[in-house]
Amino acid sequence: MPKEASLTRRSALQLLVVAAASTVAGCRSGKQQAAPAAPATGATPATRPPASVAGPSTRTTAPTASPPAAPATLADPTAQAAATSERALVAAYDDAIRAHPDLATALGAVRADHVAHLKALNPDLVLSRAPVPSSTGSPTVPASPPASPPASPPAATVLATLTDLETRAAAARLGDMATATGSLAALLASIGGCEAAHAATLVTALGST
Amino acid sequence: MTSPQLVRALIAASAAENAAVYGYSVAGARLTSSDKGVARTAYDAHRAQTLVITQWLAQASATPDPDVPVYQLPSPVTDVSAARAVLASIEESTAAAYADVIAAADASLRRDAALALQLAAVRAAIWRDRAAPFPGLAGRLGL
Repeated sequence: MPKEASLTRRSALQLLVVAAASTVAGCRSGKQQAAPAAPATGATPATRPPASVAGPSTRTTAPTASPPAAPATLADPTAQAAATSERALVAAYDDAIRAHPDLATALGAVRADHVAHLKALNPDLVLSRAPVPSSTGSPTVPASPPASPPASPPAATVLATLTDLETRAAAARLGDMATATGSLAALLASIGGCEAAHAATLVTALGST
Repeated sequence: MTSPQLVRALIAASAAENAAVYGYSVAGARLTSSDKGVARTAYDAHRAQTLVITQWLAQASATPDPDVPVYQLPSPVTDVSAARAVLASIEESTAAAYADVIAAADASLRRDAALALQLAAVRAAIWRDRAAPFPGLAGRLGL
């Protein structure tokens, strides 16, 4: 049975999960219509995560079980490790955007997903903005050597590297299932699903640009 | 031993997979020829997964609902883009069902269900041309 009864609810981190029934009892029917809410709107000052998924609820079958309430992610070592992984991914996208400003829009959207993951795992987090791909603007990072910056790897190489990172992250989230339980497990599995989807679509979505 | 929450989640996942099989059989006909190959593979995957979940249910000493449900597509399949939207929605529903299984399951089942969620998320992203930030939890995360 779920052990989440002792978990704290954090204001910015609530797995609403519709009937939000951590204690399971008495919520068998309450979630036939899920109230769609764009994930993480307004909660991420750095980037605004795309809300493309949160369209009208059109599920053919509504799950009858309700994942329990908010995981105390900050206290959980599995969540901490996942947050470290997400932070590395954000940094990798920052590097890629700096190297290929032409991909900034598309890569920035993917980066925003990882920022949303980080926020879900650590609601207190404040991240810096994505690098601004402007040839004249000053980046928000330590400046690169002025004279001749090192040659950037080709876009295809960058995308392949990012795809590999996403694949590894998705596999790591599967590994998290050994230790994470309850709604934290569901959250980590969902994050892994996003990363698997990134891995599957990065090249096809961006390779032509 | 098996929690009622898990049994309910497994039964819902079984229904979601059956609904996916139905949805692909209907919406697949509207797709372009190149997408039909993708849909055919996905259809086979969902069919296989219905059997997997039947096994999970047996291990949980539960049986799926014997009533044959009447499936409804989430929206009408009028053209190619509508078909892709329906399939994306079906995959998101499937992922959501697996998220509920994961929340209630033990470690080994969690991993299997998480893999199934990942595959659903990949297919949803293919149909939506975009990965979702939280597949299976859309609308259920209050951030």
